[in-house]
Amino acid sequence: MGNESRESKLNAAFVAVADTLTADYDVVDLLHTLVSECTEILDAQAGGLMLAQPGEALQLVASTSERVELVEVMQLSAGAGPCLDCYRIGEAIDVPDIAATTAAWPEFAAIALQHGFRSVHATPLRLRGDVIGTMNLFRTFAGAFPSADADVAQALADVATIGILHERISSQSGLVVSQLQHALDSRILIEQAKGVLAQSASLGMDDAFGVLRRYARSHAITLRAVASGVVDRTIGIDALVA
Amino acid sequence: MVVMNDGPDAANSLVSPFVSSLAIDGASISVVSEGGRQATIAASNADAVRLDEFQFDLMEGPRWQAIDEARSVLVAELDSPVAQAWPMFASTALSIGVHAVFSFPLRLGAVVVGAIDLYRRAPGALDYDAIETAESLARGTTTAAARLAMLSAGGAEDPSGPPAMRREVHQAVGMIIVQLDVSATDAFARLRAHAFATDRSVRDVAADVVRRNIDFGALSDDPL
Repeated sequence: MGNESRESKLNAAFVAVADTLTADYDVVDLLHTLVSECTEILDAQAGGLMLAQPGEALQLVASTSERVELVEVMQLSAGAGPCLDCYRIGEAIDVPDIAATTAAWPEFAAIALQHGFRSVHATPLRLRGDVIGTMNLFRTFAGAFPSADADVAQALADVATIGILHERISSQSGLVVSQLQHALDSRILIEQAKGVLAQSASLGMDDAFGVLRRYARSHAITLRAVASGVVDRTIGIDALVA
Repeated sequence: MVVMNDGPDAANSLVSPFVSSLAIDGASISVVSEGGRQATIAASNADAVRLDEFQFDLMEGPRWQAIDEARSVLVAELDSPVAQAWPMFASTALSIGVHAVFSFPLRLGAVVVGAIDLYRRAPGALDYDAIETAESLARGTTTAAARLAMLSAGGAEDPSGPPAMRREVHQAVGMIIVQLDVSATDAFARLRAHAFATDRSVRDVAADVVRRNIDFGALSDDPL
């Protein structure tokens, strides 16, 4: 990748993340943009972002694919894997060769390798000294994550976490915990909406998410708003699957 | 009181943060069961238990409204026209000296899992900060309350995972909404009821729903 194209992609990524902050945005949309942009510009093949409330387990809130395979890898990583370590120590964790971690993380390593992932880089989401989550970027080839790429991932993650802070201030709602709870609840609503769509339109869960996302984009509303309308049936299936 | 698999300590630790951080005299948590029934899973003291029983027996009170309308219902003084929506509950609560009741729904997305009831003997509103605190605590309690509700449905849950947050459970709720043409709250209750009736975990049943091995619209063995 040439420097010029990389720089323009970087600029576009920061603009995309910042854009999410200007409108009537939701944390889930923001984090989805973050993980998609990072995966795209940092030559990763998949990415997932997890948040946790204090004392609770990490939950997958945004990912580049909703397919069961990636969801499973992320969940295992949060159980015993780079996600959990990154979240616990609050520092980036680089795993240049997942195959070399089978002793430390047998379940995670086995499933990640089975799905073709060879290396992973975990970036902490830090807010005023608190770690609120972690972003994992997976590559289908082995090798250390270049430090320049790690810096970009951390910078974009920092912008996104400032966005969570910003929403907190603008809504006067008091606690960062509330924002985390809201983001995690948005994710639950999205899963319920995927179920409604999967049943009504005979779609797979990944396709159902795509339908929700396209509708949100074309109507310039948040994913949460679309999900809410689907679950309470105020947005008809015909309007979604046009 | 429903005896929970986690024991009373796990359930009662859910109400203690409310009692310790708010100017109230007691708190209780109830979950919505199949058929719109409710079960108390935690209560901080005997009066909290009695208030729960009053609402349950009379089938009226702020908690029913909080669950039905998925919003907080705040009553600063039961001896006032505001409480005339629940005349029997108001007079019964007043008879044991309780004047203020505040009910907050516990929501998982579109599902109302249950409610937390706070009460105080002295009348008076919760101020803005207290409402914020109570709502934040209620949101933080929802996952644990849902977990207890799912455990009470029977079957063995995977103790390593947070079952309430497993995606398949929420996806299955969405599918059952369509299969039975019911609300999200009812869909979740039916999912738990089926797990109970078939002695399986909620997660197992949910996974079967998502894989399209179970269609609630075609079930005849449902206990309802």
